Amino acid sequence: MTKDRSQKVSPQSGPKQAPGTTRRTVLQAGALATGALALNQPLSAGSAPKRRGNTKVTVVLFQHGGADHLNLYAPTGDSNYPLLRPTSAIGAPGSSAAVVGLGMDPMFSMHPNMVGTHAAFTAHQSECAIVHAVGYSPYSRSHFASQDLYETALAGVFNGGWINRHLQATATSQDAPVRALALRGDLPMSLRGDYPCYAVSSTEQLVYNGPPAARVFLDKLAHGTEISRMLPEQRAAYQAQRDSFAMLDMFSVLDPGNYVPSNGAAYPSGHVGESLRQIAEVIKADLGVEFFALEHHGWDHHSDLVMRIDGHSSNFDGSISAFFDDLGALAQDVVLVTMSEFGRTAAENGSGGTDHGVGGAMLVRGGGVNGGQVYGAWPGLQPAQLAGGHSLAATTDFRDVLREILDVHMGGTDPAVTFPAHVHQPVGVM
Amino acid sequence: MHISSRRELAERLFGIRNSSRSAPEAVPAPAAPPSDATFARQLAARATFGSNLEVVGDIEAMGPEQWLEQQLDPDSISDADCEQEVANVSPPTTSGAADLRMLTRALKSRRQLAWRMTYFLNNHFATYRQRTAEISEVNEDDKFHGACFDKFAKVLQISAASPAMIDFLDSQSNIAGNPNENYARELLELHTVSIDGGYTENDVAELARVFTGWRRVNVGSQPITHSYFEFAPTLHDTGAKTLSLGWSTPGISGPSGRHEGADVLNFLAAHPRTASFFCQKLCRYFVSDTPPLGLVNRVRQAFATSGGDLRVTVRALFLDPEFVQPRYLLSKTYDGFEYIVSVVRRFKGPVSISAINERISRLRSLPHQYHLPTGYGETAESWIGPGHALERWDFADDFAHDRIAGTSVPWTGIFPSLPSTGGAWEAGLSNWLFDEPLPDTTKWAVALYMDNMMASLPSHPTWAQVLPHARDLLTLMLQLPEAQMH
Repeated sequence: MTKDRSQKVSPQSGPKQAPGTTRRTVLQAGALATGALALNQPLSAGSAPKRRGNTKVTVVLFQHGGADHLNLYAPTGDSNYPLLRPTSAIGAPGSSAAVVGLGMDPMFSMHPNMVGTHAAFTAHQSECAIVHAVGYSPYSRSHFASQDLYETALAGVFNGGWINRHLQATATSQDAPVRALALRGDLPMSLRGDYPCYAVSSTEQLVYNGPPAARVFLDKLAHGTEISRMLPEQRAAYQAQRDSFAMLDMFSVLDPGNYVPSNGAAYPSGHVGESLRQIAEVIKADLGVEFFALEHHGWDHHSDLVMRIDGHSSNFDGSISAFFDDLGALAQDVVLVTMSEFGRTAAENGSGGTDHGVGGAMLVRGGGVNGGQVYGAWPGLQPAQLAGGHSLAATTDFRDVLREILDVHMGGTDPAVTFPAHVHQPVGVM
Repeated sequence: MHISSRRELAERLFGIRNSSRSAPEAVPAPAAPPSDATFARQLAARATFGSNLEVVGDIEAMGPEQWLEQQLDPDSISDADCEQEVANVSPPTTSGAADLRMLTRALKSRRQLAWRMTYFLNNHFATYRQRTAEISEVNEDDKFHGACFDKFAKVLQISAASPAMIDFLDSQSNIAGNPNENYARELLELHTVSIDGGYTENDVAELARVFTGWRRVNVGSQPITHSYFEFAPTLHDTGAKTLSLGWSTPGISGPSGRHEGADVLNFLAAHPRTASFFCQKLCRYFVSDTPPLGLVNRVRQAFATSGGDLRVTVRALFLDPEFVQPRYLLSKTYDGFEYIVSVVRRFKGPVSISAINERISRLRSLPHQYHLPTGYGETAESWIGPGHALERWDFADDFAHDRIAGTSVPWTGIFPSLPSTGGAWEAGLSNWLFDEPLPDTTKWAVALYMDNMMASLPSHPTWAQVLPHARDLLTLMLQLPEAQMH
């Protein structure tokens, strides 16, 4: 299945040149080569090439804070689980626990709020899977260090994010001006790097409010100004100006305020639902965006887990379920994958919460997913089986899951660039 | 593309063959400015929340070094007008008071450097208002302000015992037998020695135990009217604790157990890794996203040899010869708060604090509303890109067209007589808006833009006829890349 793209761009010869050149050529064709341009005349919208026809999409949802996967996908078949969590353990279906889960298999039960995800997981020919006990080694229990490790795929922040490196490795001359978009205030580490990627907190932002003549003027000026002798910070500011106009052009077909989801899909309120709703509109608009990144905040439940995860799990489940309802048949082109910087301690703490842990879990849902299964070897919750004596151990490297998504769903990557120095261990989730 | 003349630029930008109104090629090469003038402009840009003609004039009149000394001694500056407005507009328990008070001071305080330092410290020790009480944030800011040129250790103690921090990082539930590591981890990683500080997971656990029993007490509800620190000896873990960084305690029982925490904070404040981490960040904030090594080293040395004295440290930063190097002029991108405040400060007119605050909120840059303990990023990569640009442009357009409640552009103050050429429009506005000269191509293009607009008017237009075009011109100039930087 793996398509080796390394003959196109080898890591040694510098994947950094090719994508920049490609993209700028595209942008300049739209904005610079028009020569004389009268004031008040809107910019040509011709700079946005049409989708390649078979664009596959990956949506990466980061559960920020360190989600308690032992609560979301609870190991109700592990006899130690209720002992470690006297007040917060999920019970197996039919048990007398305060909170009873939805059965997945003899070992696992989903949090009862995860109704839509559970339905997708148990559906005939399911395309919704869980990979449990996921992580990397050696682990970090710092939010920020661990999120960076996930988002760089352990390559170091100076080498940028795994999505960015994948985009470098797979750049072609037919690429859309924007191949990766983050729905958040700033660019996540996974999209940082030499390949141009973009962030907007909402697609509602993608409108120019100002005098039409000023827009034409600023666009021309941003492209016409000689920036090579500027300070690097000023150059970056001019480049950002150019990018802003390119995005306005590319996304001018969107109308998020009037977008009506298909199939009666009902997105819950909140950032995740709203972002997925906007992502669905972009996917349907067929613009060639291949990667979307977003974050779901607030999973750092150091106290009162039962109460605090209640609303979070509903919102998480409801947003993802509405997204797939909305996509309908287009879901065959889309894979959504979730990750979090770590799982949490196996035992609950004195505040009825859990602290930073190690092994977590990933939800993988969409076209081509071998669903209905929980993947990964279960490390167990006996004291001697816990990582560091406190947390679920990690038995599956998260990079193996991402690699399979890129290989099977996205048409291949260059593993030496995207996941350097990692030996792939098949998971089978795709 | 290289443009060699104004005429060529006109043709490229607008297809204009003949621009009749502007004086031809009248752009003198900027002479190298005297270093005191550069110093004054750079100080006005970096030591305040936004330069303007008045600030630069004050600095030049007083002399940059004397002005800096005065700013480093904020008690010597009378600020009664600003504080009166703070008290009138945002009583400390009203919703949003902490953000509104910070904004009022950024816009109007004469103690600009002290408030900018407070703003920096508030972000270094970030707490998220949605998980704290308004009064805690207000009190924390005032305490940071009072200590902003004191010892770093003092600021660290303020933060550790701040009810806002105790709420935000779960110190409240950190008790003997059931420690909560949240504060201990971020104290090491974000406040002092940093992730590269050489500490272990066990250090995090030990440090959490040191702070067991550190609590806050709230008085009143909706709103909480008072919130204060309390040490609860019965909740304190009195066992021995050892940090591999080189600190230990046999464990202290009774009310003196609090001294364990105070002592470890002093230890961490004096740690060499803290000096490196904190000074690097300070230089990134005030000088450059990539500050020169020599400057950082000198600032760090000032910090270390003065026992973490922030007045000595900040003075060393601004007096460093590299601070005024051309490489570092106009090289910092404003965060959202700073961008809006800087635009408003340029014109020094009346404002509605709540209306401005609402616009900063749209830029997701309110000082007490970042949800993570990292605080907002202090470099351009957190504040650059289409998402930011488009929202700033909205603000620029609304500001230029007086669509923000309470503000109006003082046109006749900027132009006592109506300019007759695009070049004069450009020069007049640039004088108010920019400390460093715009690139020549931009200057020419802006002048041409206005010439074109005026070409559709009678030859001696009235203010009423020109004003719509002047407003569009101001929109455009506030949307330039240069207006996003200082």
